[in-house]
Amino acid sequence: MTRVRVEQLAVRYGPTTVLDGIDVEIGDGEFFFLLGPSGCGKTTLLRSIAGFIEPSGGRILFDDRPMHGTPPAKRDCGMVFQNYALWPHLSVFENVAFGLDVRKVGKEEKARRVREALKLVKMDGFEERPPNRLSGGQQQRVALARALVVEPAVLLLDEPLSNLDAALRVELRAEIRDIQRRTRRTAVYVTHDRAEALALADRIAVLKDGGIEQLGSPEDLYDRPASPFVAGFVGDANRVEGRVAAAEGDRFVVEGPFGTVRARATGGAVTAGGAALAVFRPERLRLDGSGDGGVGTLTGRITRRTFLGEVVQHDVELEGGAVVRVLSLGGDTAHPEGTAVRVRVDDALVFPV
Amino acid sequence: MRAVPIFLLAAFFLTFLVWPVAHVLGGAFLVDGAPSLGAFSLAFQNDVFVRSIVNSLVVAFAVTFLASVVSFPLAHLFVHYEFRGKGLLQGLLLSAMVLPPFVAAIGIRQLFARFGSVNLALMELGVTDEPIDFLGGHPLLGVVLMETLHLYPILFLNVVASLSNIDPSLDEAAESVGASRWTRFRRVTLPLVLPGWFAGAIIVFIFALTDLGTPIVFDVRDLVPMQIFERATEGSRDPVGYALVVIVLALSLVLFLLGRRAVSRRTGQQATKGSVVARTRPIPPRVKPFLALGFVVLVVVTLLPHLAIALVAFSEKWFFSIVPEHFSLKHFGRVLTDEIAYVGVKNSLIYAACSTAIDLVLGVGIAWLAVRGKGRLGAMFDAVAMLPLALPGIVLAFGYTYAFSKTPIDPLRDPFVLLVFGYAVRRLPYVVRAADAGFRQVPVALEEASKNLGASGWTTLRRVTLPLLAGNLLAGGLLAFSFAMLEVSESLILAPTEKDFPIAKAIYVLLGDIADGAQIASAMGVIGTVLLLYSLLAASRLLGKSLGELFRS
Repeated sequence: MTRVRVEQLAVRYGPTTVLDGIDVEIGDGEFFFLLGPSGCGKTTLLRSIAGFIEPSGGRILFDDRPMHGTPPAKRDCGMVFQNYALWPHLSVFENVAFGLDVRKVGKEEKARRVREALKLVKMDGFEERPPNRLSGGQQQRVALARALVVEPAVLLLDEPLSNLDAALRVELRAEIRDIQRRTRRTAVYVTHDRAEALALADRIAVLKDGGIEQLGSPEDLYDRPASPFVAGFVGDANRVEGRVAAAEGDRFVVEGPFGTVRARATGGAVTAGGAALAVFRPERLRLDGSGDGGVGTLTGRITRRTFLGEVVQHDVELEGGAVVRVLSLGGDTAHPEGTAVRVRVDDALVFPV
Repeated sequence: MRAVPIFLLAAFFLTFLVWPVAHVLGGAFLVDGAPSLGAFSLAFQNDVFVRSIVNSLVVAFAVTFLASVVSFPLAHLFVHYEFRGKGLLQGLLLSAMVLPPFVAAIGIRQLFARFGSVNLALMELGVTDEPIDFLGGHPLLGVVLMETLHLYPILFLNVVASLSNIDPSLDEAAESVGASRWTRFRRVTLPLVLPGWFAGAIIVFIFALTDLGTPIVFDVRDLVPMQIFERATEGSRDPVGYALVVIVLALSLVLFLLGRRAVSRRTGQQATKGSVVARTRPIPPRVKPFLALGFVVLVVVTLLPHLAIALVAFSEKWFFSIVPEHFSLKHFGRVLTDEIAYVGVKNSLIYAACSTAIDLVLGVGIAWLAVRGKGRLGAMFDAVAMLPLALPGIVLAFGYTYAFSKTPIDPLRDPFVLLVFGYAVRRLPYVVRAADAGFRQVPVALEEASKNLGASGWTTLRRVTLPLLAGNLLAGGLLAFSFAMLEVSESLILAPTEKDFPIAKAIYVLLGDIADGAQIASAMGVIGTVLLLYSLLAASRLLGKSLGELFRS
C-alpha cells in the first residue's frame, strides 16, 4: 500500500528546534512506533506526517510523492487522536460515516462499511449512541473505526491509549495489534509507554531532544541499545560507573568499586583504560548465596526486599555504595533484608562515559 | 484567497469605527486646520459643561458603588449557598437588565411625579398635605437610582462568573492550613474575584457615564450625554461639543484598557478548570428571616418600574389617581395602528435583523482568526472589535452625524446604513465573545479529525465547527438583536425623520404626545421588555455561566 519516507525533516518554531535531521523509512504495512519522553518531538513528527504541521526543512514522501503543500484533507491518513476527538453533535454511526460522506460513498455501501468497521472494533450495536454516553475505551474504539473505515493509506495513532486505565490499555493494545495485522495497513504509533511499543511494534524509533536516538526492532533496542538513554528508556537498567580494564575481542572487562564484570559494547567507542558505564538489566542478574567470586560476581547486602507477586525485587547495596536492583522469580525469596549476598552478572553492556 | 475577507473586515472597521472617531478627534484638536487645545479651554470655561462633567462623574461613581454594594453579597449567596428561589432571583436580575432605564423612567415618573401615585397615596393617608417633589428636588438621585437598578445585574453576573470560576480546592487548601473563613475570603477569594468585578465595574461605569435614555426622560440637562445629544441634533459644528465628546471617549477608553489589564493579569491562575463545581451550603436558619426580608425589598425595588410601566400600558387612562381606574388592552392594539409606533417597530425589526446578520458574519470571522488563525492578525482584529465596548453610543452617533454629512449615507438623507452599521459595531463585541468562547470550547482535534478524513475547510466549518458553535452563536445573535432593538443613543440621534424612526425614537416622540402617547410608549416598552427577557433567558441557558463574561471590559 504505502511507504512513508521522511528525509532530513526539521521543525522549528522561532529559535526553538523541535525536530532536526529526522530520517526514517517506514515500509508498506509496517507497524512503526515513535517512542520517547514527553517533549522529544514524537507527536510533532506524527503531525507533520498528517500534514497539520508544515516542516521547516526536509521532505516527507508517501511512496514517491512529496507531501509538501498537500493539506491534511488530501493526504489520506486516518488519525486516532489522544483525546479521541469524536464529534459530540454526531452519533457513533455519523462519526464513523463522516469520512465516507466526504468521499461521496453511496448510502448502502456506507452503511455496510460503517457496520464492518464498528464490528472490527467490537462496537456494533452502538450506532445510535452519542459519543459522550460511551466509556473512554469505547470512545477510542469508535475513533479507531472512524480512522479505519476510509481505508487510509497510512494509519496514525497519537498516544491512543494514554487516557485509559491500565487493564483496558493492555486489552485494547492486543486488539489494535490484531486489527493492524489483519488490515496490513501502514501504521505509525506515537507513545511514551515502552510496554506498548515493545509489544506491538515491527520497528521502533526512539526519539530524544528532537532527534532519533536509535531505530530498530524491539529486540534490537532491548538487547543492543545504542546508548544508556535507550537502554534505560526501553527497560529497567542498573548503571554503575567504572573503568575499562581490558578488551577481549568484542568483550570488555569493566572494573570499579563495585567489583568486576564482563560486558558487551553495543554503542559508542569503548577503549581500554577509559572511563565507562556498565549497564545491566535487573532480570538478567542472579542472587547467589555462595558463588565463586571473581569476574562477574559482585558482593553486597540486601537493603530492601519488595514482594511483587510473580517476581521479587531486591535492592542490593554493592561494595563502594552503588545500589542495584535484582528481579527474581517468585519462588526465589529466601533473602531477608540485611543479608550479605553475591550477585551474578551474566550479561552486561558497556558504554563510554 | 484569504485576503478578500480580511480586506472587508479592515474596510468595515476603518469606515464605521476609525473614520468617525478620527473625525471627532480632528474636530476637537484642529481649529482652522491647525492643532490647538482651544476647544478644550473653551469647554472648561463654560460653567454648564464643567457642571455636566462633574455631575456625570458623580452619577457614574455612585451607580458603580451602589451596584457593587448590592451585587457582592447577592453573588456570594448565589454561588455558595443552596436556597429555594434561586431561579427566581436570576429571573429577577434579568428582568432588571431588560427594562431599558429609558422606558423604566416613564413608569417612575408616573409613580413619583408631583401628582403621581405615591404623592396621591401619601395625601390620601394624610401623611402630607403638599405633594412632595421627589424628582425635581434631587434630579441626579433619580438618574442614579434608575441606572443602578438597570446595571447592577451586569456586576452581579460578573462577580458570579468569577466566583464560580474559582477552583474550590483553592479555598479548601487554605482551609486545610487552618485559615478562618474571613481570612480565606480576604486572602484567597477576594483577590481572585476582584479582577472580574473590576472588569464589570468599568462597563457599568461607562454605561452610567454615557447613558442618554434616563436623563432625557427625567429631563436632567446638566449631564454630559444630554449636552452631546443637544449638539448632535442641532447640527451646529461647535468645537466645544467635539471637545466634550473627546473627553468622554478618552475617559471610557482609558478605563476600558485598565479593566482589560486587570482581567488579563489573572489568566493562568485557572489552571485546574474543567471539573469546577463550587460547594454549596444550606443557609443557616438564624439568618434566614433577614435574608428573606432583604429579598422582598430587592424584589419590590427591582420590579417597581416594571409594575409602573405595566400599569401605564394597561390603563385606559391614568390621571390623578393612585392606580388607574380602568384597564384596557387598547394601547397594545395601538402599537400596530398608531403610525409612529408601527413604523418604529417595523424599522427596528429590519435594522436589528440586518445588524445582527452583519455581527454574526463578522463575529465568527474575527473569533476564528483570533482562536484558530496563525499570527497576530486575529488578535489585532479581536482587540479592535472589543473597542466598541468603550465607545459610548452618543460618541459614535455624534461622530456619524458629522463625519458622514453630505455623503450618500448622510443620516439626514437616509439613516438606514448608519443605523444598521452603528448597531452592528456596538453589539459586535458580544457576538465575538460568544463565538470566541465557542471556538475555545471546541477542541482543535475535532476539526483536525475532519480534515484528516478528507473534508475541506468549508465542509469542516459547515459540518463540525458551526453545529458545535450553534448554541453560542444563537446566544450572541439573540443578545445583539435585542440590544439593537432597544438601542437608545444612536436611535435618538441618527434618525431625524419619522419614516426612519426606530423604536426608541418612536417612544421618545410618543412621550411628548399629551393624549395617549405615554400609554402607547409603555405598551411598546412592555413588548420590548418581554422580548429582551426571553432573549436573555435563552442566551443564558445556551451560554451557561459564561453569560457574565460577555459584559465585561
